[in-house]
Amino acid sequence: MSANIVLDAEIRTETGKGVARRLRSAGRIPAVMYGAGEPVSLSLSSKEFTRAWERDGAAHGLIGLNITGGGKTEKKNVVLRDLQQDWVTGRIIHADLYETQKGHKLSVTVNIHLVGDSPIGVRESQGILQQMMHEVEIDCLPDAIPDALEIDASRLDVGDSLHVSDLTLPEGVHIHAAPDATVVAVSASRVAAADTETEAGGEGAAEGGEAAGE
Amino acid sequence: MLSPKKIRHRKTFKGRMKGAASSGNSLAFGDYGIKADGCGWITSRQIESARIAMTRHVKRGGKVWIRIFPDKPITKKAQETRMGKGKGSPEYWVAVVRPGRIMFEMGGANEEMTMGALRRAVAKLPVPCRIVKREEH
Repeated sequence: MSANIVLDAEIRTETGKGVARRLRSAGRIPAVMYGAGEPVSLSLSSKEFTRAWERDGAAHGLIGLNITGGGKTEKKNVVLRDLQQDWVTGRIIHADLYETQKGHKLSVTVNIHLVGDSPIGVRESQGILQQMMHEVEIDCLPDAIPDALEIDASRLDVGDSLHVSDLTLPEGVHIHAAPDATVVAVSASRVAAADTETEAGGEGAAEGGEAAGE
Repeated sequence: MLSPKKIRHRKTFKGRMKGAASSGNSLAFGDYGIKADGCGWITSRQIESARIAMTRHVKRGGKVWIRIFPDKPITKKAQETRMGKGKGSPEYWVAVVRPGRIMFEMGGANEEMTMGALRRAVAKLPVPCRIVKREEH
């Protein structure tokens, strides 16, 4: 069970709002690690962690932590369980890390990737490809976390859809979502709909029904 | 234009716009969106105008999601009316937008077309905005 991403972390003894703010202004992210034993408060380098999260796939993979504190260094494997972000600036403000244990299954979210050519419905009938589900929660062993789950949407025509049950799963992986939940669908575009309808009905009629208000 | 079908109170207080958006702050439907960088009232006319700008640019291809709804009535006193004699009558509807709020989303069109459409929509809005893209982590 080895992690591709390795980060340095420091144990922090002080907690609270003021401490967290001081850490952030010093270029560090407050974090907590739990899962096996008592929860431990940590701090991570903001730059390193952001790079790992944005580029190296730390959001869905195994992370190796070198934890220093109390005069000793300890190595732990963790997964990212939760992340708090400032939604205006995009800055990461806190991370929840879940300590993995060898032989114990854990829940992680993995991305869903569309593979293959663009669907028939998009190429030939000007349909719109919509991916309803971009990630899914799975149960698996820590060393068997897949990079992503793949689904081939190339055979979809207008009105067709693929569901969770159509995802190709690696061995030992179990999905939480309902098997009939829609992952990807091809719907008719308004261009195609306007071609079939002889009466125009004005712009308002053609564009109506797309407002998904709250 | 968007407006509520049924309301509990005809007139509301002005209110204050403090802090950032606590919900509706991430892309939920499309691959691209318009995020507010400031706070303000978006009228139903502005929402409609932005929607038309987007749909016309993508030539009715793609799909647009409107993530805000104008549910706040704004009153106005009639012209040449002396002050007092009670609150004015409802004139139009607005959506209260705080920083971080995703107001519109788009999907189903190529990147160049979508960005062009969203830029046109941003020009119709009275708050500072940013175009955001779905990123996979």
